[in-house]
Amino acid sequence: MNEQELLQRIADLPREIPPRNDPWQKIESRLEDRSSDASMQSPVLRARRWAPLAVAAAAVFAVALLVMPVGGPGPQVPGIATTETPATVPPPMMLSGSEAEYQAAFREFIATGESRETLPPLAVEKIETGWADLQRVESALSDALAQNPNDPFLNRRMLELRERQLGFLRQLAALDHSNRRLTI
Amino acid sequence: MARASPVNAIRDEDREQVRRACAGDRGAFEDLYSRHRNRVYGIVWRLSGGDSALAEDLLQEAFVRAWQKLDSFRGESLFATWLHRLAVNVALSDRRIRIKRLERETALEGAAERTAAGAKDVYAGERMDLEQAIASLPERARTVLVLYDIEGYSHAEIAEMAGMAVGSSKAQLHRARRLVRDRLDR
Repeated sequence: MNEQELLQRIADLPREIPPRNDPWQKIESRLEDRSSDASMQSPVLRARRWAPLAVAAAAVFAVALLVMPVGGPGPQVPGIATTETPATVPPPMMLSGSEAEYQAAFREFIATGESRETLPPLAVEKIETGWADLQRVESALSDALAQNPNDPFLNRRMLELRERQLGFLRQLAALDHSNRRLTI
Repeated sequence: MARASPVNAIRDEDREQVRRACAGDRGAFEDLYSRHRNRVYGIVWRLSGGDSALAEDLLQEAFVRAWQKLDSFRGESLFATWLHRLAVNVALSDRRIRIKRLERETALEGAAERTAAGAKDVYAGERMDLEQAIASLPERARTVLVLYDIEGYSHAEIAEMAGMAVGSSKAQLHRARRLVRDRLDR
């Protein structure tokens, strides 16, 4: 048999072959309901539960950077190591330093969202409540600064809030790491 | 000779059924299943070397995955094209695992003979010897011959799906055709 004859015989093979047993019932029993919460079992989709919180965090910080006049360094948050920001540092450099610091913390925050399912519900509730409190303060300060952009007291409070936000994210990242060690 | 197309028929009616299935309509999905079942089974049956039990598992898995991934079908190709490729990926990823296990547990020759015997489940008559010859090919050679000569995929597509170089795909096709001819000439 030459190759052309072989190819002709292959071309004549049927493309459709009926299975001996129709597995539709088995297939149907495995189909997840699209309207149920079953789709949230996917790790990717589970991680999306954090997305609104993460987006809110990014938006709050971005808005704050825009409306915040540059002031002196904020006070230290107890128990959280922060970078010294001397008053002599030019304002743009200080802001970009804060931004870089925030982005690093934010990346860890996103990673934390992926392991949310492994956190105790009470911890998740406390985290969300804590973050919501910070957002409320942020919103109030932003409104006040919009009316009094040069007020030194408000600017100090805003920087202090920023430190608290960063501290919050760092603690969340630390919680995530320790939680992973416990669950792996 | 004109090569076979991966899609043997254009089914415009699929689009509406896909839309309804995406919305959760299982009846629409069952319609799609009924329409494409035999075609998908033909692909996975040959890729599994004529192992009917394995092919039924793969058929089941392919349609369950299709349901799960239906949202990702954007209509840029025919539904049949999308479904067939998904079925090939299911079969190849499944077989990769099974082959590794099989190679550890038993000689490949014996496995090939067992799977070749599976052709008897489907055929009687003159085509059976060709199907048996294909089923008895070494795994990679069979994969390439089925996907290229029967399903009409290009070497580049096969290389991507089977995780091999384009050159390897061509070499395996040459080898597969020679082995099939040798077997049929005996």
